[in-house]
Order: sequence, then structure tokens, then C-alpha cells
Amino acid sequence: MIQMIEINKTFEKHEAVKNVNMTINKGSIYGLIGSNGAGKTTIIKLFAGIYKQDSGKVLLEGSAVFENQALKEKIFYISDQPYFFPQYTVKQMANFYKSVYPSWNEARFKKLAKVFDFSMNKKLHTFSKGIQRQAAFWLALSTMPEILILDEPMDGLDPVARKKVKNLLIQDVADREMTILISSHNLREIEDICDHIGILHHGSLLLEKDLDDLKSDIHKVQVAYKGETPKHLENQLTMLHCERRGSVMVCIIRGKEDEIEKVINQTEPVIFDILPLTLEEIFIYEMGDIGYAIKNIIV
Amino acid sequence: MKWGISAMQSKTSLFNKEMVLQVGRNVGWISVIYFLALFFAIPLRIMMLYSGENYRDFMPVERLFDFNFGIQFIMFITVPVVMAIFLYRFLHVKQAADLIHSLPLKRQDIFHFYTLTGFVFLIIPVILIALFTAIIHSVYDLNLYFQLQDIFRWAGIIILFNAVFYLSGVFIAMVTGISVVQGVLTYIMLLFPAGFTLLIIYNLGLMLYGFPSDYYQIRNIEYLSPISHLTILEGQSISMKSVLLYLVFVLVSYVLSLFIYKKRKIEAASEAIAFNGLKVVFKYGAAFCMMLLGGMYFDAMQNKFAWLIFGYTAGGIIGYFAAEMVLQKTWRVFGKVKGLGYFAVAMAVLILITQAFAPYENKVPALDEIKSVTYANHVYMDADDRFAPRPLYQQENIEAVRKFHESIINNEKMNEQGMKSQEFALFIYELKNGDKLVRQYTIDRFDYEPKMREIFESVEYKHAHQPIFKMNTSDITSIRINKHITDSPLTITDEEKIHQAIAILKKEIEQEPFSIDYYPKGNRSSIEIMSGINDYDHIELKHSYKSFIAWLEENDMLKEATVTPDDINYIVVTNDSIEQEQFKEYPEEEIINRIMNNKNAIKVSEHDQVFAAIENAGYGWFNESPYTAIFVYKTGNHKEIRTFSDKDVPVFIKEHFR
Repeated sequence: MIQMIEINKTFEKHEAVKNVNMTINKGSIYGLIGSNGAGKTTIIKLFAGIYKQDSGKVLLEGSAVFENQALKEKIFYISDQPYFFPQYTVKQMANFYKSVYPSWNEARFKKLAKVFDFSMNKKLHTFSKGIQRQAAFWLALSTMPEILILDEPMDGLDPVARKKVKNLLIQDVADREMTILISSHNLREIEDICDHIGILHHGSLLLEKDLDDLKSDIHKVQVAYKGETPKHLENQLTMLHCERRGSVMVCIIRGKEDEIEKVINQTEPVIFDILPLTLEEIFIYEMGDIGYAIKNIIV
Repeated sequence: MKWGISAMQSKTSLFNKEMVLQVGRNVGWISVIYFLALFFAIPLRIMMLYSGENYRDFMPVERLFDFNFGIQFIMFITVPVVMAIFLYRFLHVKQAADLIHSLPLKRQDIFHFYTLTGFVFLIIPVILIALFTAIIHSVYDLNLYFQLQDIFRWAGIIILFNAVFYLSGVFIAMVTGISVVQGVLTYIMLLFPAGFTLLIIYNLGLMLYGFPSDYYQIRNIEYLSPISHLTILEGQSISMKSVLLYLVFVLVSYVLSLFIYKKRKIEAASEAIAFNGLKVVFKYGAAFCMMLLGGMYFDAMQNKFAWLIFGYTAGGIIGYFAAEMVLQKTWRVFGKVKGLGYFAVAMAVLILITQAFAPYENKVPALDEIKSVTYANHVYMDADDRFAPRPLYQQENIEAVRKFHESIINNEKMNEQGMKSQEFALFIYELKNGDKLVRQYTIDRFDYEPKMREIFESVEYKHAHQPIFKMNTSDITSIRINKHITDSPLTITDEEKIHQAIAILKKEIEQEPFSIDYYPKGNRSSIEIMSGINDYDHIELKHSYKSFIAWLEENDMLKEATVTPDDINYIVVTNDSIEQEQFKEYPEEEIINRIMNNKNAIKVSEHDQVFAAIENAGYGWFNESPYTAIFVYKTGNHKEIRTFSDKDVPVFIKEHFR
């Protein structure tokens, strides 16, 4: 479990992070969402032990991360722009990480060579940005970190590569309970792999949510009736939002799926579907006023 | 279990192959260039000098610095700093800083590893060159020219200096966030002790009347900066004290760098100064130093009070804004005048404080406090020099110096106005309580003739200043008397004659009255006394040294020693005076020709008249007198400009022009 308690960080006179509390459980994938300048990178670098907070605590397994070699051996950080030593190849970087991370797994590195189909003996700066980012993942996963910290990791990756990387990440989480902290300015980009989401705005954490809870609790329903819509429907269900498209009603309803199903089926609709909700929609409807306020952030 | 593994493995040293390789890939090229340059400068040079016919040019050398010192010097001051810059470049590039500091490495380990590995890369070339030179030394058998131990001493000194420059660079790397600023600040730091001392001493000299800035400046200021110290290593060896001091500096800056690195914020990459507290020091420090520099420059160039104030103001403002520009990384900083206001107020207060040092300016120690006093009209380099002025102990002489000093202080306002003959006056009092009081002044000697006469005519002063009294007569090897018109001066080497001559000269000097004039009239030959290997004294054979002249005549040497009418073909005299300016505008030859062709001129060639002219002629240069003469010598038709003052002009010349 990694934690941030009452964290504040100021650059010159700019308050980058204000009173942030966060908890990331072992084996979870935590998505940190925020617009540019919201403080995502600052939080990421605090977790990675690069920055030192002005006040508060950053803890891993109950101990402070900053300057703690034993703890940092379990953490791997990939920056928002891939960076390697000048003139280095993947192989040379691998040797370097091998000398620094005791958990380095050579077999994994060789195995991953098949997944990433570019040469490990070519200088990294000759590769495109996307390939460089894939190389960063290759190296990161070969160190077998317990915690992987990713700053805007999907930037510059094509859809195929994204899929590939996401699969690898999920596989590590599933196999060995790796914890991932992932930041993005775009909710859609990471919603499919995250189980927790935190939204950061102007340095403060607006909300922290478990996506499974959210998703099981809120539903999008498409329903149509012959003739009049039954009047008592609204009283029986917690309608967050409802709009009519021709004869079809699209409603966002809070509640258990089977209960909603039961109530609606009693009204004998002509069409009745429960549709998946995007995270974005969940946030907007769930949060009400705050949701609208943060709409601009998360899209 | 995992904990156990990582705890065990984290003990594995950072000094592993991959990490060293990483440093090598980064800075190895510096070592290569360093090696090649030194190879070119020393071993190759030795081989070139020693090969074939050239070996005859090969002179014994005292130090390896003698080979291509220019190249060596440039390498020694640049390579260590460049090494520190490239080594700690990762602190100044944001992404690199993030990468390195996200790794499971403690800062102290990073610091030890990089600093020590970089140092090894720095000194490997030096060690290789030393080994190479040692091999050449034994292969060519160069023992005649220098010793093996000279090579090792050279390597030791270079490693020490490399360490000093390198650790200065490392220290600055921790303080700044921009590599270029690191380079600039490193050199500023290396020059700072000497530069700042110079500025402070010079400006105190401007602020406090009598402050002996020249006396302090001339003393060992080159030892205060390793850069200037390096420049003199070609000529002299390094003292044990300096070695120890540099070692202490190296250790202190190592520890201090580590301390600062641990405190450093990683986000400071790309900021000029990484610590807020230091930004203030940097800003006002730059303003203060530039202010002093401005004052020094304009005082040296203009020597006017108004210009001095201008220099202070302009320097302070330029320094303040320049520092602000560096800190803000933009030139649009002219709105930030509040800090400049504080600075101006602080400086005004500082100047007022220096003005409160009136007791310093007025102080002349009381007679009963003084153990001795040294008075000199020049600043001497080395108080241990055998010929350096010695202190005066006799009460009446100390009192005379005190009076002289007091009258200088009382005339503060007038001393530097309309000077006819500018002279320097240095007073060094040794007090009975062990203190030392030193003052210096610039005066016009014509204002103080009676005061100076009292000091200058005392036997003690003469003994304290004239080298002839400090020489051991038995060491004197020869006396040469040169009348400056022949190529072969009179040389006395006979021991008995030397003893006689020196005894008479000593008596002459003891009895010689003080003359305010630097250029006495009459026959002027010079006496050069050679003693030991290097000692040398020069005395003017003055017209007034009657008994010495008599002794020369007795020994049949006068004709050789001085100019006589027999040496002179004829003399041309005009009643024109040559103004000082003319010497600057025209070549001497032209002036001589003009006088020779003057229709009013009188030509003197009769023996007695020529003799009278020789005896009474003054010095020609910069000595405006109503009569100008050209002496035409027999040897080589050599011509010399001389003058006659109204007082000394021979009667027959005066008559002629009446």
C-alpha cells in the first residue's frame, strides 16, 4: 500500500499540490486524472521519491520513500518523456538497470524482446518517440517492480502498441500483484485498465473512487413504450437524468441492476436495454454540480 | 523473503562495471583530450628536443612545467572544470535528474561514486604522462637534465591542482542548475579570494586616507587564487603550507558539496541558483563586487572624485541588474528596483561607516609606543631581501619620521594638488606591544624638504637604505665605473683597491647632504658594485664626492672613470629651453639637429671652458632650463643633450647671450 498524507509542495511561489491525501492498495491500478498543470507530475515524482514534499508524508509499507534505497528498489518510474543516457542502446540501458535494480529479471527481458519487435542493439535516440516509450516499458517490466509509476504513458503510442502495453501491465498486476499509478489528462485513455480513479484539479484531489463500486451502482437505461410513459416510474427509481429521443427514453438511474430491471419490466416496455456507461458519463451524472465543473478536465 | 534479498543486494557497491562505463561514456573523451594535449606538451616535446642534432639545445630543466607551459596551463585550468560540468550535467537536465534520482540510489552514494570516478578519469592521463615521461627519462638517460623525482613532483602538484579546480566545479554544480552558469561561477569562485581582496584593498585605499593598499597588494596576492598560483609554478616550487591548505580546501569542498547535494531540490535543474538563500547572496554580492570594480576602474582611469562616485554608482547598478538577469533568465528585469533601493541605502550607510574611521586616518603612534619605524619611498616586495629598507631605532630618527608623517596627515587636502615631483611615502611602525601600523601616502617631495632632509641625512637612515652598507666588503668581486660614452667601463678587481674604494664611498655617502633634486648637476658616471653571484648595487658618482674623485685621480683612474674635456670634441649651447612636451613629440635626433643648427648658438671647444661646462651641466631630459647644450663626444660622434640652469650656467655662456 502506498500512501500520501497531507502532502503540500510549492515551487517558488506556486502551490503545485495542496493537502493531498491518497491511498493506493497493493495490486490496484490507480488512474490520476487532471488537466495540464493540475499537479499530476508533481504527485508522480513525489511517489517516485524524486521530489521532497514541503510537508506531509509519502509512505510505502509505512515507511517514507524519499532517499530510502530499499523501498525505491521496488519502484520503477517512467517519465512523461522517455529519457535514456545519450548514445545508449536498449541492451546498454538494460545492463545499467540490471546493475542498479536487484530485482532485475534477465529472462523476462529476453522474453519481452519477442513482444517488442525492435532491435535492442540500436541506439535509442534513433528511434521514434513511440518506440522509445515502448523501450521504457520493456526495461521497466524487466526490473519486476512492485510499484510502477507512469506519467502520461500512452502519449505517442499507436492503438496497437497501447493495447500491447495495457495487456502487459494487466498481466503483471494479475500475476504478481504489481501496483500501478498512472496519470493522464484523458480519462478515456485509461479507464479500461484502472480500478481506482483520482481527479486532481489545481493541486487538490477533488475525488477518489473505486470504479467497480461506481459502475455497479449506476446504469444507463434505454426504454420505449407504446403510448404514454408510466407516470410512477420516476417515483420508483432514482433517476439522475432522463431525456427523450423520439419515442425512446434514455435515463441514468442509480440502483442495483436487477432491481431496476424488475421495476421497468413491470411497466411492459417495448424496448428495454441496459447500456454500458462511460466513466465520463458516470462522473458527470454522479457528481452533479461538481461533475459539470470537472467535465472540462476529464474529457 | 524479498526484503532479505533486496537488503543483501543493496549492499552491492555502486562502483560496478556498468556505472563506471556510464561515467566513462559520458566523460571519457575529456580524459583522452587531456592525455593527448599533455603528451604533446611534455613527452613528445622532450623527444623532439632530444632527438638528432637538437639535443644541444636541450637545457637542464628544474620542473616539468618548463615544457610548453602555455599548453599545460590551459589544460590545468580548463579540464577539471569541464570534467565537473559534464559529470554533473545530470543535475542540470531535468529529465536526467529525474531518471537518476528515481533510481534506488542514495544521494550520498551517487555523490561519492560520481565525484570519485570523475576524479579518477581526471588523473589517469596525468599518471600515464608521468609514467611515459619516466620511461623516456630512463630510455634516453636524461639524468643530466632532470631527475625522476622531478617527474613525480610534477605529477603530485598537478593532481593537487586538478583536485582543487575539479572540486570547485563539483561544489558549484551543487549550487547551480545551469551548466553554463556552473562554468562561469566556478572560475569566479577560483578567482574570488584574490579578486575580492584586491577590490577591498584598493577601495579601502580610496576611502581611508593613508590606507596602505599598494603595500598589501604587492604582497603575495597571486597566492590567493589557485589560477594565479598556477601561473607562477613555472618559476618556483610550491610550499608545504600551500599544499596543506589546498588539501584542506579539497576535503572541505568535498564534504560541503555532499552536504549541499543532500539538501538540493531536484526541481532546481535549469535554475541559475538552486537555493533561495544563495540567490540573495549572489545578487547583492554581484552588485557589491561590481560597485567596487567600477570605483577601482574609474579611479585608476580618471583619478577624480566625481568619476569615482560615478564608477561606484554605475558598477552597483550594472552588477545588480546583471545578477537579476542571470537569476530570472531574462533581460527584462528593470522594473525590479526595490532591491536596488535597499542596496543603495546599505552602501550609503557603509560609506558613512568608513568615514567614521577618522582615528584610523589621524593616527600616528606616540614616540614611547614605537619600537622601530621603517620609512621608504617605494613599496618593496620582500622584507627579507638583504637590500630591503631596514627599520630605524634611534629616538631622534623615529621622532623625525613621526613629524614627517604627522605633517603629511595635516596636509591631507593639499598633498595631491599640483604636484611637481610625485613621491610615495610608506611608513611601517613596529610598536612595543607587538602591533604593526602601516600607512602610505602620495606626496610632493618639494613640500616636505626640511622634514625629509632631517631623515635622509641621518646616518642610521643611510645605513638602513643604501645597499652599500649592507654588503659584505669581502664578497665584493668588482667595481665598475661607467662614464657611459665608451663601451669598456673602468673595472676595479684588485682586492685592496676595492676595499679602499668602498671605505671612501661609505664615508662619502654618510656625509652626503640631502638634495631635493633627482638630477644633480655635473659629471655623472655610475658606480656598479658587484658582489657574490647576484648582488648588485648602483651608485651615482656625484660631483660632490670630492674625496672619491681625489682617490681616483691618485690612482690614475679619473680619466677612465669620468668625462674630461679630452673626451669632448665640442659643445654647442643655445639659450633655448626644451619643453618637456617636445620630447614626446619629436625624436631626440631632431631636437639635437635643431639646436646644432641654431644660428645664435655658441660653440665651445676651449679646454677650460669645456671643463666648466662639464662641471655645471644639468641633466637634459625633462629638466626645463634656460640654456640647452649639446655635448659632442669624440668617440662615435655621440651627441648628448644637457642643460644649464640660471644659477649654474658658466659665466662665459651667460655673457655670450646677454
